[in-house]
Amino acid sequence: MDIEITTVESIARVRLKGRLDTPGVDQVEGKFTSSVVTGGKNTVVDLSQVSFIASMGLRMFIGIAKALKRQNARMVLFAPQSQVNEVFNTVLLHQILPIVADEAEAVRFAAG
Amino acid sequence: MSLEKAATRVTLRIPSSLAGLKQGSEERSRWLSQWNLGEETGNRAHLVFDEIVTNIIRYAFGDGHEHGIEVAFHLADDSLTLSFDDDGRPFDPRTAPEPVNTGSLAKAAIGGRGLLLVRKAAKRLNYERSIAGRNRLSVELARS
Repeated sequence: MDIEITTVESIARVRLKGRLDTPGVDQVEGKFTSSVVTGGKNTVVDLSQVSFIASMGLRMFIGIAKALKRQNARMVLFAPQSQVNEVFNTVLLHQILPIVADEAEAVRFAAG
Repeated sequence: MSLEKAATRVTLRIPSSLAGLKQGSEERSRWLSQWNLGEETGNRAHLVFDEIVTNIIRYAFGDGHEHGIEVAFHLADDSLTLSFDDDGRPFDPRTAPEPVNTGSLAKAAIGGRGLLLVRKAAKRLNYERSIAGRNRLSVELARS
């Protein structure tokens, strides 16, 4: 599992690649959390290269989004693949986190 | 490996640790790759394996010691069954409450969605607590 984080115009852009199962989350959660939560940055997360997610991945997203919300920042997920989108739909994740189609929309939503 | 030659049932014994989960996941993936089951069935098997083994590691024991978890995969004509055997505290996943849908990030629980995903993926779940004090869970998936 790989993670790449850049900050452009005060928005953190996180690109994840691989499988967000328990071992995958273990590999990226520390860097993800320390990079975006510490600064309380609005954050967009590119899921286009995430082929699989299990509940530990959901736990990571919800935990980070809650920590950002306490600092009046928000996290937006974008471009989920089919298995990831199916899991999001099963747990009704869209009711608690914004999930959009592409990066431009995610940036607009995060900045807004 | 041809369909006729590959074993339709395999059993693994893994330690109750992240290293054990990784080892089991690799062996599951290797075994499944011998069959042409399709991405959807493979993903469901991965999901069920990851959720159940993670739950056992995190919640089944409380003594700080590493335990063994036995996992079996059985392929039939129309189903793939994953079976889990552990000596942790009794827990029947069929009776676990559904997560409450709060509709807001502020009120949402961080965790508690794994068994919902397992129940949605499964065709059938069976659980028994053996006389010897072991949890025996089997999760049957439809082959797509």
